[in-house]
Amino acid sequence: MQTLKMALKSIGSNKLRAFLTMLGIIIGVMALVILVSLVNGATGSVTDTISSLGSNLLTVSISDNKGAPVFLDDLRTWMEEESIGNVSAYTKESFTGKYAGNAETIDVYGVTAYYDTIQDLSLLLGRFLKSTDIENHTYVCVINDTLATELVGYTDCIGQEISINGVKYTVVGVLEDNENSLTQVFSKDSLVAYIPYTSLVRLSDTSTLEITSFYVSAAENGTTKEAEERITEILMKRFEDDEDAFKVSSQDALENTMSSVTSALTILLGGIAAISLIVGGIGIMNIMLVTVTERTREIGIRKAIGANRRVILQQFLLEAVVLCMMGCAIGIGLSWAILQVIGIVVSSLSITFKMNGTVVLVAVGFCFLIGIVFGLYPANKAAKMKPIDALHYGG
Amino acid sequence: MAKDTMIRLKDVCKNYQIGREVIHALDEATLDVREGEFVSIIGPSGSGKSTLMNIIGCLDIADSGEYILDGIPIEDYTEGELARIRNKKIGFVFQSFNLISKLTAEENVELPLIYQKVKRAERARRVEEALKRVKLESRASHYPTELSGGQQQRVAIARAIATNPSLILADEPTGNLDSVTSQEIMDIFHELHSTGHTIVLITHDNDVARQAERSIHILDGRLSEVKR
Repeated sequence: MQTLKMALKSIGSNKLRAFLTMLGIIIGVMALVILVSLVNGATGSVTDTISSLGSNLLTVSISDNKGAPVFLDDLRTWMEEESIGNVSAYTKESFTGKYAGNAETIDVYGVTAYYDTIQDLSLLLGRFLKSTDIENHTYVCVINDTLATELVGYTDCIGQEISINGVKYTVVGVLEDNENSLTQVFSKDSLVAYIPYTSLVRLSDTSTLEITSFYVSAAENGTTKEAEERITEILMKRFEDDEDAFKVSSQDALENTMSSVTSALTILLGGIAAISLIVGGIGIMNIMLVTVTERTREIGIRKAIGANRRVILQQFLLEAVVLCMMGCAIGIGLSWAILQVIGIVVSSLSITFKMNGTVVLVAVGFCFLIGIVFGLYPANKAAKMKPIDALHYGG
Repeated sequence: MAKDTMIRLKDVCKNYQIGREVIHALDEATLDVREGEFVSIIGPSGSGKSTLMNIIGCLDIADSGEYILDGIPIEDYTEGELARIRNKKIGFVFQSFNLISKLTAEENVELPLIYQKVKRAERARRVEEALKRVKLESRASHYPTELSGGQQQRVAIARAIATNPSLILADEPTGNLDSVTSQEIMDIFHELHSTGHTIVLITHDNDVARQAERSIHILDGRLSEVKR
């Protein structure tokens, strides 16, 4: 306690020098806290987006049908399964869409009913494709708002006929441009039309009734895991236990990849920041060595009146640690302020940058360690001084 | 008078090597100081005064010979034990005062008590008492730079007596002071002597030395009693 008071006093006696010494630690701590908090904030928002895309979604793609191709009827059968919710086939093609002299390249998805439920699409107007549309190969389409405004010129275009690859399709529904849909995240501002799967097969040379990819959602009261297990089991049976014939992927996998990327990033940035902290620590050691030399006489006096090695060691070590911890506190305070400012600046991006509690603890611990490690040598140098040499130093 | 021996030096030698030359700073020095005595050690500069002071003050250890302080043989002590002996048994008064400039008079006096791990309330009491004895209680919260030389030396004396040591060791305490202030300081030493403190005073000034009960002359590391 008394030693702490002495340490504070001696730091306070040369404020500018103390501040300059702390600057290294302050900058190091700020780098560490801000960088890690930023990465975490960004990661948090990306993971949120991914999970809002519907974490109960499974994507199945078939690469080798082993002579037992999957048809729409099969999907319908699988939908009866207990742990499986909805199943929708999909295939994607690019066609030219025309309306009254306008022409645009459109992403055309051939889908089945319930695709909207699985993908969590929301309708602005009209309806989505129904099972009867699929069965009857009708020429109807559901388009997104972007397409409606770009091609037709206005959103309310239900009943209008647009030509896709030369075939006229009647618009039955307009979809909201949903920021949270997977397709929208990965292809922003794209022009999208959904038409019955069977209808697309007629337009296209490549797509056939043999389904190669489809989405599966989990049953309402079941988990994605159960659905994944069930669909895998069904497909394994169908494809002669060849697990390379098809692939079932969930969004969990995406999230896992994402988090491993960001944790690598966190470690990398944290490591760089830690290097600057160590540099700050060397600054502390340098100043402590100067201080010890400057105060040789004081050390001599203290030793003469009865301070032993341990007391002197304690005093100078504590001074180094206090210096470090003060720098650490200032650094954390400034980081907090800067993160607040960044938060305000990027508030439009719906990303929140919060100070990460763990990294603050790590910073505090690391600073303490640096104080000890880099304070030990100068403190030991002070403690080892012989009282007579120290007393007669410089006079 | 059957008083105990406070200091017993027997055949103490201390050599320094400077370049190729070996300097005998102390050459078979033998000295006895009884409890309650006021002894002055006088000699010109370079006579080995400071070395003697360092050895008596346990700041340094003799090369050979025997040193018993207050019944404790010193030779074989470790640095840590010497620090404890300095803290408990010896009060130092230096020529250049050697106060810590960042601490107030009060805090300077308190320092050896902190090292002794005396409780706060007890420390405050003893600091006040020590400052009162040197008549500086009104300057307790002043920094050394705000005090005159004589006042600084009085603070140093207060620091020396605060721990109630067996021995007060003064190294040229008046060396940096004018004659009037010197006499004030000497009066304090007389007062301390009269209340039973053992004092060893090192000086090169005959007038100062003569005020002690007994004077010992040192020249080229050899000690001899001054006849009066």
